[in-house]
Amino acid sequence: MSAHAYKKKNPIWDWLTTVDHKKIGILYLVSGAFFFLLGGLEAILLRVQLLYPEFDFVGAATFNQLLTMHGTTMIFLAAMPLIFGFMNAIIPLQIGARDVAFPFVNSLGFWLFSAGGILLNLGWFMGGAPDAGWTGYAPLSTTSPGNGVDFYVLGLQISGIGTLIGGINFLVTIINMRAPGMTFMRMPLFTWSSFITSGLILFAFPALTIGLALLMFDRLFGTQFFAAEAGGNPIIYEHLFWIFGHPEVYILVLPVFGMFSEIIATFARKRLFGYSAMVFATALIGFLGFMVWVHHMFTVGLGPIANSIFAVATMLIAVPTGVKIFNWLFTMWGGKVSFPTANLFAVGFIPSFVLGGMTGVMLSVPPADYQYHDSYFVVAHFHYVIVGGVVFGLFAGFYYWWPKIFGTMLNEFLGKLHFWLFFIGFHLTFFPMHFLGLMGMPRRVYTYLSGQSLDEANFAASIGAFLMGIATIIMVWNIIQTAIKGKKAGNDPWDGRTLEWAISSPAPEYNFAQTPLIRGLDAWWLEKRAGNKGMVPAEPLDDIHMPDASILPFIMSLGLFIAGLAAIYSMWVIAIGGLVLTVVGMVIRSVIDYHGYHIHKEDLPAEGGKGK
Amino acid sequence: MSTHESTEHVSEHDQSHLDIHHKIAHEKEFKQQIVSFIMMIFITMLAFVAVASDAISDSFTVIFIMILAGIQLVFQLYMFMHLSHKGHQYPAWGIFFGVFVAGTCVVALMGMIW
Amino acid sequence: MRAEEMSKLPANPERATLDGKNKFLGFWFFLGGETVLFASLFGVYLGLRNATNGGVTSNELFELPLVFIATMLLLTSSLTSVFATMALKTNHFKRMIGWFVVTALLGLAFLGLEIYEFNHYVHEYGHTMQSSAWGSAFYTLVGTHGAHVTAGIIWIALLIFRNMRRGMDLYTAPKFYLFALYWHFIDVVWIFIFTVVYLMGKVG
Repeated sequence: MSAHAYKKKNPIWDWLTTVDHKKIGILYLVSGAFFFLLGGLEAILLRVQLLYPEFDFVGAATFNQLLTMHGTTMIFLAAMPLIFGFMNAIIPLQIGARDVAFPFVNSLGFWLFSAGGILLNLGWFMGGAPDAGWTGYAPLSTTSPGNGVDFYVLGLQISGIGTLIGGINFLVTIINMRAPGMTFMRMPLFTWSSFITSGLILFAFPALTIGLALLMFDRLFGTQFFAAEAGGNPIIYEHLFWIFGHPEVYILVLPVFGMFSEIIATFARKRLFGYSAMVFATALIGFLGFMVWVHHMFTVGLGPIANSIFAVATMLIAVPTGVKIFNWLFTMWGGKVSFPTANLFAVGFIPSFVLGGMTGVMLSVPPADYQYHDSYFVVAHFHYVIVGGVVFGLFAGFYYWWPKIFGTMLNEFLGKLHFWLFFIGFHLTFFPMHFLGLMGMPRRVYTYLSGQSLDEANFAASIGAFLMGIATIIMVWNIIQTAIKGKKAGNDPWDGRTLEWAISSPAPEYNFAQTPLIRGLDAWWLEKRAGNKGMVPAEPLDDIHMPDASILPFIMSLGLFIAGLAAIYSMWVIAIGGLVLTVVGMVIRSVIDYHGYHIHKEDLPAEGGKGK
Repeated sequence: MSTHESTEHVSEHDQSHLDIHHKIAHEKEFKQQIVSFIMMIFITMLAFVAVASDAISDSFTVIFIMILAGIQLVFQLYMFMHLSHKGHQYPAWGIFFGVFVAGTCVVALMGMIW
Repeated sequence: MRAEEMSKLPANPERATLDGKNKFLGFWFFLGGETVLFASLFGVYLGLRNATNGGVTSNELFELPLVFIATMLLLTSSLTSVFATMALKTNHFKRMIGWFVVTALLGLAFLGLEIYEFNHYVHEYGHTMQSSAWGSAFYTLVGTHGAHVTAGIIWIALLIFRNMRRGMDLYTAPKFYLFALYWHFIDVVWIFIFTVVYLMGKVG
């Protein structure tokens, strides 16, 4: 065997072919961070354009492309992969598994996502980025000239397939791969919420797939789905988009709710208050998430009955969300709370997110929504939810799990500077937007007139955006510093509660030399309280089976990338060639047996000797 | 999963005993499948006849054939796809939540447009 | 050795290994997602079924005998793939392959009918994807189903070709079992297509 383990691997080849969930997690995190910076840059440019009334910085056409790409990039190419990155890096460790259920599919999911992400952004260099808004509403998107929207349609389609198979992978992983004793009601909340999120991905993404496919047919093949003049109906697109789009909001926010639950409990040094209520609330939010999409379409004119039903369903979601907020507060109550950067973001999240939730309830009232609709009030609302919720959560998770993923400690001073600048910048940017919206400033318009009391608030918002930009640069600086001369992290730097802190940082290739026996909620904390140095093994030390690395996921994704790019320019021969490449990859995967290999037990480090 | 683990540890004698049980179970299943198939053919014909004949009103026909399709769905899932068998609780969750979302989709796209 | 192993295959060989269990569950979840995918197309179809743009209507276009034959072909193929699954569970490899071959042939016949039908509509009636929103919805929904049938036929052909000489074991059983599930799912979709598209199209 040892030939395999000791064979020197070319690092680039290794990263291209890896099926190790920890490495795929890092790939997701790195590419997600890249797109986050890109989306952030787009946001800064938007705010420069809006710095002064009638300012001419980028102009209307570029502004439309920037706002479309900012939204699309942040949702699909930054938040989603960052969440998948954490899911990959952490969930198998939290449930005591050696790997995910489908390592090959996992790698395919990543490469499909990155192929789609790159394709989507190629528009910038090939005649104009998409400019029909991140929702791509027809008929604006079907009639948008140039190829911009084609990049949107095909890029999202390809990355969406990657997300879908990733979701299935995590559903099966969490159901089938849990260590002995890890019952559902002993799973850490990050795992729980990722489980629910994976379910939402599975059932929500197909609607987007169809919406995008129909859009593609209308644009490339001259079908009439959304062309009202030929009997088509653009409202169908809105339904399809939001049947996907609303669950998508919960797909983003539920995993970070899980992260907060763990971070707050860890730094309060108390078990999570109301664990089962948290699980139930998460499931309920996931379920209700499928029945509220029409609140994005209140002004479409579906009639008072439809609007009322969906308004009530929307308001209902405030209940489980409120349960969660109170549980976090009660977890801190009476705890020995400490505030490293991770917990600062977690605690800063609570008031920020509550504000976003409040405006959400305001928006859920249809008559009021007719006033707020398409104004900056909506922009303020969803940024409070997505930045105040998702981005704060991703930052919190980033500071919390960095030691486990990379084995070093981030600089806490720079981290705290990052938090405070970002926190202040965030509120400075988005709080005034509520009032801009109430004063009637429409969203998605590239400028505004002076003398309408809009100047000061817009100026403040732009300054806030710059502060967030500086904060992000500090974070990048922190990462670079840590990569160069970061202090080594121990196995358990935060005195953690869950299983991932029981093994070395970073985790070895096989995660657990022996599958651990789980004896309760907060498994690692229980063992520590019982005076044990490590987890109790559930099996004797034995050879460990590992999956084979493969280049096929990369090749299959490359095939779809080529097919997508060629389809945009109607070069059908090349497009079919790309598809054939993908299918050939699938056939090879199906025909050749992959038996994996074994790490022999003699080559495993002695028990207890894993720590640094 | 549990069936497999329990069969793995039984003795030779029990194994043959189990095999006989399996055989009987399979013969029973075979009959059930044939009956299901005949039922499905019958239901399909019923649907076509209902549409082809002028005796039944249009609005009733639509409801009638939709119910028939629903029955066929149940036959496929429970008989042909063995959803009733042991170890299918997660698949059942998956498919039925899918059906639920599918239902909302269809209602929205069909009814909530103008 | 292999023969000995074979006689001892457990009652549900498709789920006897962790790998098989994962595939089994993952595939069922995939089918759950496919349900939503097809439901979206059905919804689009129902929303646009009267949007004929002044062209031919469904009542003028569809011919029930053709649809009936296609339905019988696919229903029968569902039965033959059930027989194949039963052969799989009782460890009769040859019999299983036989039934899967019949299944694939029936699928091919169905596909032939569908191609004939589309060709007929386009050339005799000028009913195309571009002619009306209803046309777009019709070809997308029925065509997506046809694409699934095609993929299924390629899949089973590949499985049979690859595993013909290998026989049944705990590694191949899940592969065949999943195909059977997929094929039943395609049949379920067809049940709703003949009901919602063709029969309701005749009713008006």
